[in-house]
Amino acid sequence: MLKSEQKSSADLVKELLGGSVRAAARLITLVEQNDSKVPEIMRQIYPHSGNAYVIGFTGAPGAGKSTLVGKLAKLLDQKGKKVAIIAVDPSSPFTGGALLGDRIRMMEDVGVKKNVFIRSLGSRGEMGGLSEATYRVANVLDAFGKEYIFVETVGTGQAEVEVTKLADSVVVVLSPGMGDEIQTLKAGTMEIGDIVVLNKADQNGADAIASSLQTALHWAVKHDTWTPTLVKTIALKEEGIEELWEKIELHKDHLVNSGQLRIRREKRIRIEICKLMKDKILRYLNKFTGESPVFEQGIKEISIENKNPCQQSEVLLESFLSYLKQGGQG
Amino acid sequence: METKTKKRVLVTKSDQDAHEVSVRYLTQLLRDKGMEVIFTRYAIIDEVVKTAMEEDVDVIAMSFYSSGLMYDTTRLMELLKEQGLKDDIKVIIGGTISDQEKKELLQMGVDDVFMPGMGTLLDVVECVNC
Repeated sequence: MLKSEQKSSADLVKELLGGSVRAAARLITLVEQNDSKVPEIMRQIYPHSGNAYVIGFTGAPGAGKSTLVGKLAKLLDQKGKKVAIIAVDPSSPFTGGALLGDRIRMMEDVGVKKNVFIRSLGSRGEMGGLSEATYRVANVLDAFGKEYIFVETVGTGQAEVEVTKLADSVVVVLSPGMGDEIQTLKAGTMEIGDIVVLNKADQNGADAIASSLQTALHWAVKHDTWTPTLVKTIALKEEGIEELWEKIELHKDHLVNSGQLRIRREKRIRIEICKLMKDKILRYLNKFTGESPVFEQGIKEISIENKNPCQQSEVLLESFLSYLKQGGQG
Repeated sequence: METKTKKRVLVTKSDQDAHEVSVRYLTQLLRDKGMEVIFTRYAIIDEVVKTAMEEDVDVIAMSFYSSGLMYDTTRLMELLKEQGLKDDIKVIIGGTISDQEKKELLQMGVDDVFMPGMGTLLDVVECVNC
């Protein structure tokens, strides 16, 4: 979209580092669009990131994730911390549009708080609960000076593993009334949650669910020496929020002291680099198969000269590699 | 992967105004047209500007079926100008608005005003999209 002042990425980054909310928002839009300026933007931003602690919030829709995130952000803001919230909602697979409706739950708590930045993203076709750009958006907010970044996923529950690759701590939010105990156990909580929240803990059946969750967490396979913890909350009444924060801080200390934090972040960088490389190769491959006469010829030879597709694909791969080397020519 | 540019629209109304049906349908229609819609209810108008800035929206669509139209819109336009956002955001207002109010709103810099009998939500969507 055309903005009246077409600033250079260097200017925008400078303003970002100077604390401009507008620059942060504009940069987020650019990195989300995967604009051609993005590699340059990320190059400028990267040296200033790496400080923020990322907390992912996942769990089925209706459990109260957004309300909980808003309450937690309010608590941290009261403690003088700088917080950013990235709230992802599903984009329509048919129209590409989205109703970004997480923010509305947070407005009463942090709507006008100067130090809380909220950005809503559409998942834009991604199925893992996050938008493909979430990592870059988090980097922008990190460089912006945010100490804590909350990432709230789409909330389908079971498909949402992307958040484990992005977040330092993962909080899974459940509530009573989401089926029986077997249903709750199924939800993948045992595999991805560092902390499990049972929200709406004043509802019928809450204690029974809490009890079976507690047992299940005790027996869950541990990825490192941390035992996933259960916290009961009633987000609307602001109950249990302090306790949730204490548990998150405990997990953070554990990650730092055990060296896990560094390992997790390195893994994140590795995943991001693989993704960038894959994207670039795929882009060239699409161009090659779409435009290259060499490719066209190769396809014709399969029918005309009765060539074997398997063999031919090896030949075409060689051609593609030369094409790549020549920067997409031939 | 390249992503197309998507239009981002802030649809909002006062939390004191109980009339929400039309904005809900508008939100649905905008989404069906491929736009990203942020829907909020505001307690004070300042929230709207903060939201518009953080979400980097292209359009603000506000609905008024009870009081607050002139006060809130005046304050909105002031804040948008102050923050240097006015030139980049289209402002559309709809609801129970009189001819006189419409004139004043347009003078303030509001881009479009929709009143009863002026068409349907589909016309609003057209306006947002252009």
